[in-house]
Amino acid sequence: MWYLCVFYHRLLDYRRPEVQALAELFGGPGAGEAVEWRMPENHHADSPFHIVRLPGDERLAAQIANRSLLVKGIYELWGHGATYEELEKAVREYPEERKLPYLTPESTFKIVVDSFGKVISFPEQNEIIKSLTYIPFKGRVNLKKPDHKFFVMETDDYGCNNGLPPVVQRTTFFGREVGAADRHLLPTYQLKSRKYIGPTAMDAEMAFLMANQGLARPGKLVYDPFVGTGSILVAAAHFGAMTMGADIDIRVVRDGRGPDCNIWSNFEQYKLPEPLCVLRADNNVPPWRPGLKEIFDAIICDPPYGVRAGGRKSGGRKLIKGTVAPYTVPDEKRDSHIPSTAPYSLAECVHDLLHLAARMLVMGGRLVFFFPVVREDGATNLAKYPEHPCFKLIATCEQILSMRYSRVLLTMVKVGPYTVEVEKEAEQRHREFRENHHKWMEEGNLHSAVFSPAAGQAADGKPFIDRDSKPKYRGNNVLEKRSKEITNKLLLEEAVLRRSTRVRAQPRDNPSMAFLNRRCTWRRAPSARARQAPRRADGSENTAAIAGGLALIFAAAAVSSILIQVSKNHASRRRRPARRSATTYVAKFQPAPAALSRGPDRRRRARP
Amino acid sequence: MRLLTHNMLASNARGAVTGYPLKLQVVKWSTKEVEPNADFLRGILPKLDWPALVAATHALGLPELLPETPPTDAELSAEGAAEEEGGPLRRLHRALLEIHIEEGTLVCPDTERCFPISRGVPNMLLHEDEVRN
Repeated sequence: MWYLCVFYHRLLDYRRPEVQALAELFGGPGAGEAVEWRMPENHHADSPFHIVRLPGDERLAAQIANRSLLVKGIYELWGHGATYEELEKAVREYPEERKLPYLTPESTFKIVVDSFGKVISFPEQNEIIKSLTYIPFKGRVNLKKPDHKFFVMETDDYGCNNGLPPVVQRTTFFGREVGAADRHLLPTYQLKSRKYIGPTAMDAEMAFLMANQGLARPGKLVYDPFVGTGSILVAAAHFGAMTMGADIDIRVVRDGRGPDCNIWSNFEQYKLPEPLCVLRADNNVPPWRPGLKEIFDAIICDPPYGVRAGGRKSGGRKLIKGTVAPYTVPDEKRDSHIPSTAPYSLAECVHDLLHLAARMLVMGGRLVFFFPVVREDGATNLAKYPEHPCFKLIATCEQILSMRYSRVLLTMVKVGPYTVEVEKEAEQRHREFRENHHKWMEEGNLHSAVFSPAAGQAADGKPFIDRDSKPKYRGNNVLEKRSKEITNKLLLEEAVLRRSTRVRAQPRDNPSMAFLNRRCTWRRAPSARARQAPRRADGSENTAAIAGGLALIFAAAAVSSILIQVSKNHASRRRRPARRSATTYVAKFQPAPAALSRGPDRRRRARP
Repeated sequence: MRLLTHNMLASNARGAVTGYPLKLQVVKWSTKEVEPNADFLRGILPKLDWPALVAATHALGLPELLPETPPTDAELSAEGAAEEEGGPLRRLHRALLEIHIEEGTLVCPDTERCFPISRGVPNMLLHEDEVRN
């Protein structure tokens, strides 16, 4: 049956896959693929109104909507139209046998007026509800706990709404609610009230979406190989799944921040069954027994991809001074030894994850993980995702994090058994993938792509050609900062002085600011300096710049302190003849603070 | 750490042939209540290494908990199996999921490498010179 599915206007990419995953969860294998989608006429794909055909009865629709986080509601659509007249016509034409069971005298009902991209005031809402007299409501109204909820939803036809392209035509929907999302669990699970979180703890909403993609439910075993503070497992455990986690950092998994603030306490906080096991292990050399396979129902994780947290694996090769061989742990120190770790590149990490999932997931089990994608010029490139012959990629949901990069939630289903031949093919595909994506898959590259200074314009207007070269005039920045500090300090002193002596704001070409002009002339000629630069040695260049700068600062400080004295004198001289009423003073001195706050800007703008 | 995890782990240190089963030395263990789920137990049963699980219960000093042969699928899915205290399903459930080892050691059978379990977290990380290349 076709339903109107209205989404929350957020995480646009995640909405349809979530419904499909939940259809699979409640409707059985294959139900997810059987879901069909259509858009109402004239609606953009990102519009919150979708029309969906679910492979099952109304109970399935209700289950999907109630468990979902992004579905605002699923409605049995009684009619829609561009105007209320058209809506009336459509609702009248809707078969009576579908309508009458919900309009009986013994039932209670409620009508909600909702809108997208506009606000409808209460009087207007009342008007709309009153106009629905053509529907023979027989039941009594109950606003708190109605048996049936009816929705009138409007989209508007003006301008852009919520970042979407303009709606070509206004549409009004009328429908009966079948199920709605329970977002009440978000405030309960929000990170800010969670006891134990880390720098990369997964946001509660996203963790629930991941758990939905992983089909977490009672009787299933969910594993997170990068468990951290357990934020993903908390979501999976909320849906009743058994959980297991591993992490390489023992401080995170065992100690936490104390006896009452660790992974276990997070589960206790929400009265959830605690994980079956949290172990300290390295995903690169996993400690699973030979012959163990197909035991997890889902692997849900957020691998460290080196932007906010870098991955580590065991096998650091620290050399002790004077030795050639890698470090050998002396026997007496073995018990308390903390092994060093080596960086774990994204390529290796993803490879190990796919390998682990291929071996340890049951058939039909799901691997859900985030994969970073570099965006260029504010748009996401057509990304190529890692592949494995055992897995079928069923959903890619992008979440844009910045202009430079976004992360994509990949959902893969295990479709083939793991054999030796498959492993060989997987190695081959991994090598190809790695070669094609060499740039981003290596240690640190992604981090610098995300965080390196913008490739903007050089001082002389020419774009930087060599993005990687370090900025040569670091001294320049330091000086600029110091000069700014001094300027601020001067302005502050000036303000204090002005307040204490009640003098008018300094004239614009104040001699105490003269040093700024000097600084500006010094700044104005970087092209000339840049041309000279290659001839000089870098070190001497910097030293010269710093020395010059310091000299300037001292000169500026000296000049300004003298000038402050001068202005004090100046002020006291001016005060004497001024014998006017208090109000004139107020009127006169009011603009001063404004002038103070605007002061430096105006000066900057005056610069050519 | 539950015995289910013990049943899954092996030593992967250099020199270990299979590294399995890890010998369990228990200092302290406790019982954690977990909701029994017959489907989960039925699904996990064929993947267990039964002799290793029995050996682990012996190491805990609970030799009567599990029989020498694994329960059959029929026994686990029988009517009322989840409610029957002391029945095969409840015993398997207790052995696999409710016994929580808090302090102890896992010893590799091949290399005698000790993996400590502290505060319920087994530390399976290898030292620099133990990682296989």
